[in-house]
Amino acid sequence: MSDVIDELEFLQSEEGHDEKRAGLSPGSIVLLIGIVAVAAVFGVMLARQNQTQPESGAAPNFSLTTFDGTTYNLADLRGKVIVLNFWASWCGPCRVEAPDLQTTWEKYRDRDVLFLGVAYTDTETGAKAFIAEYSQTYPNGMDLGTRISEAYNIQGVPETFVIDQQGNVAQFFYARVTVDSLSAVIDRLLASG
Amino acid sequence: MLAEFGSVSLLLALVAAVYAIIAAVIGARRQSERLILSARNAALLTCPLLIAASLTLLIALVSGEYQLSYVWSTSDPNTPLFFRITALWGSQKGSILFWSTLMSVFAAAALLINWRSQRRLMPYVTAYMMATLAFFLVLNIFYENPFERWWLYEGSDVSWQATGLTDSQQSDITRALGGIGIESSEQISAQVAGITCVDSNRASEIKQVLQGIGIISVVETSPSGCVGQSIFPPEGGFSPTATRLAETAQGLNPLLRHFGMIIHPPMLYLGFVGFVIPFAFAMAALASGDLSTNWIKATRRWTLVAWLFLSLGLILGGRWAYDVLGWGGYWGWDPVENAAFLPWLVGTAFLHSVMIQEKRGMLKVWNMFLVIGTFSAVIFGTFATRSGLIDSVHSFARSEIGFPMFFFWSGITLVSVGLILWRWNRGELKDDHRFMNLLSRETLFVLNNVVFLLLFVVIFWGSFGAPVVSELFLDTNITLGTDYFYQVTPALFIALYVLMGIAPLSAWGATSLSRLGRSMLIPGALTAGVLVLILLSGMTDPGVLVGYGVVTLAGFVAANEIYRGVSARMRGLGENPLQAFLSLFARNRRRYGGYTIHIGVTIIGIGVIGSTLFQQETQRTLSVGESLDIGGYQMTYLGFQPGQVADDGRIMDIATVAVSRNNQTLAEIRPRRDFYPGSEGMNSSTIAGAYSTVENDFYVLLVDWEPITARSATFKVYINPLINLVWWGGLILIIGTLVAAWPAETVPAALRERRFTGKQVKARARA
Repeated sequence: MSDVIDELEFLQSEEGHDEKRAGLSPGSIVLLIGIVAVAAVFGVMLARQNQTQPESGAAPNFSLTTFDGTTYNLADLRGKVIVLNFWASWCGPCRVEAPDLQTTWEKYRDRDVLFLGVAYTDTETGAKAFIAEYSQTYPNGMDLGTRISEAYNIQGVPETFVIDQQGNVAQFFYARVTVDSLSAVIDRLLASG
Repeated sequence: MLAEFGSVSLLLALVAAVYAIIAAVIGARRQSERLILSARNAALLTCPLLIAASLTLLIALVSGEYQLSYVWSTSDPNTPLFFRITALWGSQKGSILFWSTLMSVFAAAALLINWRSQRRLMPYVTAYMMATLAFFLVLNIFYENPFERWWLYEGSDVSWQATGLTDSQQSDITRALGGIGIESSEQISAQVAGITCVDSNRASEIKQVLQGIGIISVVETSPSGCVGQSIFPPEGGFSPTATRLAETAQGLNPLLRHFGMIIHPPMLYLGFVGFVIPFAFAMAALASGDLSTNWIKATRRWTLVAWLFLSLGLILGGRWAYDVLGWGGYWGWDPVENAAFLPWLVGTAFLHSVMIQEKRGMLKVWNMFLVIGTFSAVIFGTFATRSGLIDSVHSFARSEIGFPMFFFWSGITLVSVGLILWRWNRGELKDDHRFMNLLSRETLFVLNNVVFLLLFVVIFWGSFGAPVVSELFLDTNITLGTDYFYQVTPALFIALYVLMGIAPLSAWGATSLSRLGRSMLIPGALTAGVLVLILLSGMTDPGVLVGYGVVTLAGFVAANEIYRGVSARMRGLGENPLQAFLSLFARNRRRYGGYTIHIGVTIIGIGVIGSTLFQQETQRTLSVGESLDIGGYQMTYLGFQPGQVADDGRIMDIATVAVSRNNQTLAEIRPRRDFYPGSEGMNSSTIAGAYSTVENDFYVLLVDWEPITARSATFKVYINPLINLVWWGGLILIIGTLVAAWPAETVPAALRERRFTGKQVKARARA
């Protein structure tokens, strides 16, 4: 990059003695500003895409249609603690945490707590087999078009977000969850909310 | 050994490229022949160095050197030789190396071929080509190095998780760790953090410190040793055992295991890197002040070569999508497809408008913009698809190269446009002629350019503009689907075909309407005949009639021009048809190659209209022995063979169906689902079965089946009319481009002079 700039400077110094040289016309300036603006938009977009998972603040909204056909919309679930777990049937660590998730769900299912499982880049057959294998009873669905995964900028599976009663991200688990680590967060939220 | 050799070759190539830039610029400034030659030699040297680096990676892939993490992630012991070779461009790191190598080959060829004839431009050409190459080499060495190896080292990773750490607690942690001499390598965030690889007694020390601050959950992961990736061995690092590496190797992305995918990326890359040459020449013209048509003469053939490869890459990409992606089509208006189509649009506009500058000395500024636009679109496409800027079926992972590529793209665009404007404002890019007549060939070519650019704008907006703007400013996520493209592009494509029909018949300077009408007589009559046939077949939709009318007219015009040339030679020179045909093409390769391309584009157009407007589809679950009817065909489900294991370890579930028409069995086809047990992520692919005829493709996808018994299975069936014309038209387009770009035999200067003036006289007489 700097080579190109060097070269440009060199050109200007070589031609500097030229008397004919005039300033840029208004049209040229508009064109240059236009290019800079387009570039800036894509630059900002790129910066945004490189963002990491939200660890606090408003949780990105999503709607998830589960395998039994129910559609959950995050915005309609205020007042509940939401545990949003991203997983896939091809993922080893997901198999390790699956029993813990089910146990925790059974522990809190009668409180204002909802677990939502999101299958990331999975086949429906594979995902259903996984749910059957671990006898999971909380709602699960496919992340069609990886829309939810993108909204949460996940970098892999498993990843888990706990969303509080006001719709803010309360906790992000990068590593796999355990009954203890998850219960600690849920208890805290239930106590304060 | 391989890794060291490869890395050193890469590094030397970067040094040579940077040296070439400096020497070329200083050489041009001081007019030092010695320095300029030295720059040229350094630039030439990058080519063997990069070929050596690519060969090194290839040897590593073929010999299964899994310690190289690139080899580990793109092949496994079951991968057949063929896919080991293609794995060279199967993933980001290797494909950047491959791309750089191709670019250095192009650069070397341009330096060798054009050195004598374009002496004054060459130092600048060298500098621009090498600047582009150097940028990609920097990416390849510092961001995406294919020669990184896996290393194990003693120690363990420590990670911890805490809830809602405040900023001050976070800095406490940093300070406490600093106190015992540990610099936390990973960013300490509010909740999760880790330190990679410390030796085991340090690990317990760190645990104590952290627990002292109140973090309870501190975990020692992988206490038996840590894993890392780097080019050269880290301190105390040793290589993992060969068996362990081979066992864990991931294998090539299943979707890339297809014939179309093997040649599609190299062709596309050749097309992309090829455009660096016209770009570098245009920039050299601006930088040196030699603004004559020299740069255009020098790059004409290079542009055609780049365009040839880009077209081939697009066609093969379509074929790959049709065979492997399993949605019944070949062009999904996916952002990544569009990213490769955008440079093609600007490049095609450039190929046309360049003729005006050559013949009439007009549109000088415009051509500069087009050539820069083409190259800028190439870099933008690469940036947009490899940085994770947009989401698409093409699985280039999000990576670190986003920002470097972004700055390179915006930098070259701004600098180049700035250079044009600067020369323009100095009045150095004045046209020799003005536009005189509305019906002249130059006016029609300008219109053609306008349409190409409108297509560029609407496709760019649909794929990149709308999604990005909506997300940034409207806080929603608008993704324009295929509907948008089907609404906005057909009218523009039709306009292009109209121009394709008229422009070849018009003359430079001015054309009279009656002359144009006369030359339109035969093609017009033929087109009318085709339309009557379509009407007789029961098709009365005006849209279809207009579409087919316009498309076939363009083809008939091109064919008629070739026919007229041949018959003139037969009459005038008494040649037989074949002789006349061959010498006609030999005498004016560009012109008749161009007409051949037009015929190819016509045939593609017929195929696209047929397969888009008349596609039929159905989805049905069938038990063994049951049939379904679609479009006059009958399809019977015959049986199912689950779990067939192929040579490369993939497991295939194959259904067999029979296709029949009027109770006559035409073919048995076997749609299948391939499953790759070793790979992570998308580990299965749906391979269609198809029965192809000129009339249509009977295209069947296996959607689902009953586990275990497979007594019933669900199929998605498409009838894609005329789809094979798309591939055949593509073939004709490629042949036409080869004819146009083929180097002419060298004619002695005296003879060339005579021939040239002869032609000019004739042309003037005709006008």
